[in-house]
Amino acid sequence: MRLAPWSLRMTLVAGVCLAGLAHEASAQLRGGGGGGAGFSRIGAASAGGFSSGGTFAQGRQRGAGGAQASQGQRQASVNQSARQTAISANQARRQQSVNQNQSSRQSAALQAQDRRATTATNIHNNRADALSDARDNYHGGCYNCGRSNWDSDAAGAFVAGAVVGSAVVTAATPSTSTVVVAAPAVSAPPCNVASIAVNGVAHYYCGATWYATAYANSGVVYVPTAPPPGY
Amino acid sequence: MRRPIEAPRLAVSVICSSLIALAAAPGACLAAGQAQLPAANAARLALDRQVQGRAIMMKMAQLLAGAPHFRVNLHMAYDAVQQSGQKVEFHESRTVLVSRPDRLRIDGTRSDGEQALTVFTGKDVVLVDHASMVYATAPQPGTLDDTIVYFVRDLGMRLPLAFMLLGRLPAELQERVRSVEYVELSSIDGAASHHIAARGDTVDMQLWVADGAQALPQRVVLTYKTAPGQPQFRSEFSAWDLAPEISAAMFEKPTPDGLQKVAFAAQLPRVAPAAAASAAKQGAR
Repeated sequence: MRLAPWSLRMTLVAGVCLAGLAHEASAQLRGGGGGGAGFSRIGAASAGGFSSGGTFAQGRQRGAGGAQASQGQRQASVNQSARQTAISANQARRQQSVNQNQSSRQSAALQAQDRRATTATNIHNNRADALSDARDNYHGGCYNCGRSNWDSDAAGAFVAGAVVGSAVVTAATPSTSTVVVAAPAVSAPPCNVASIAVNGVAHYYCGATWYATAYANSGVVYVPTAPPPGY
Repeated sequence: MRRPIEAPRLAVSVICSSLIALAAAPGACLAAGQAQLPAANAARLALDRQVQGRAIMMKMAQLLAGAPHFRVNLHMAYDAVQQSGQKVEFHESRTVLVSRPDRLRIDGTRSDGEQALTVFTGKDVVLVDHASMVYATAPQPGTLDDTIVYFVRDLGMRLPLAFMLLGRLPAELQERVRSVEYVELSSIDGAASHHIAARGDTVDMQLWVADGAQALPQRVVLTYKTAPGQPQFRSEFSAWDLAPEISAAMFEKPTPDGLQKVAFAAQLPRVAPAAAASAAKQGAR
């Protein structure tokens, strides 16, 4: 029996759609965020922390100024810490240099005294550096955890499929607070193309967007990212 | 001139008058006394329960924080509140091995059978998800406390009861627990345990701590009282070992053959949809 051309086309289209749905369903089942029969595993209690952001399970929308903004604040804090450490290090180097020049100008009889002074200065600078680092990184003996909700479900959550409408500081931003609105990550490759390995991490080029394979608290996600070098 | 006997007579008179007055209104006096005594006793008992509860909680915290190594099995369950408002419970088992100052290994199995491994090697953080056939790594920032906070907050990974693994657990509880009360002496799997109810800003915690010198946690229930549906996280602790056999191999960086390497999502530079599109166009040229 011969099929009419339009019938053949319809059959092919239906086949492609079904294959796509099956792929999506499979990804949902494999993904850490998906529970049985489409139930979400992720929510306020799944984190098991002693603080809560008070959120629904995965798929929720998050308002501006939420976790992503907190991430921005953390990044800014880290940047400030790095700048402060660099400033302290530069000060220490300048002080050491001054002391060394002064030492070379003085007579041999004073050199021993200079060395002692330099050592004392270095010790002082090292202590100042260490104190500066400690003040930047440690609050009550803990890495950057002055806030008491560091283990909240919303503290560092990266939710696949969530509509993120808040400000995000890009992870690659070195020191300035460049703010962009992040595109949502997805739980399955958005198109059926072969992956391209970049630094060992699989990337996909779908439509006009590059996606990188990544791991979030909900499992494997595909994050919109900048084109890899050379592409 | 007054006679010296006047003063005692006056006193006797006052006392007699008072006794008569008391006899005339005994109900009022007794009622006031009865109301004050139980109230005072209740306040004292409540204070005792608070002091007792906090002391037991802190004893537990100091024991855990001071242990250089420990291994424990966790049998966890938690409510996931769906968009519909329906609560669905999921289970998970984990074996936690802590070796201070900077090592941690967690072997976990979810209720659907999927297995994952998390290792802090001292140099790297490694997460292996056998079910998804992927693994991710990141440099370890420092001590165990530093890395736990980094893993949960900065990498956004799940580490239930992470606060209980911290060396600064006593300070953490002092800072975050607003009130504590002793509930009762109860039994967990036949072992006498002190039931304690603590309250935090957003989470209430019930804790069962073993009676005796080894004040180890036996069970914990966390109620997320500000979250929709007020879901709970529950965990039972078993097979506590404060002197486990430790070998370097337990904390070696896993070599996951055949698994795909991925990045931690929180570490990836993310782009705006428009920026992604324009960047992609430029890349395509």
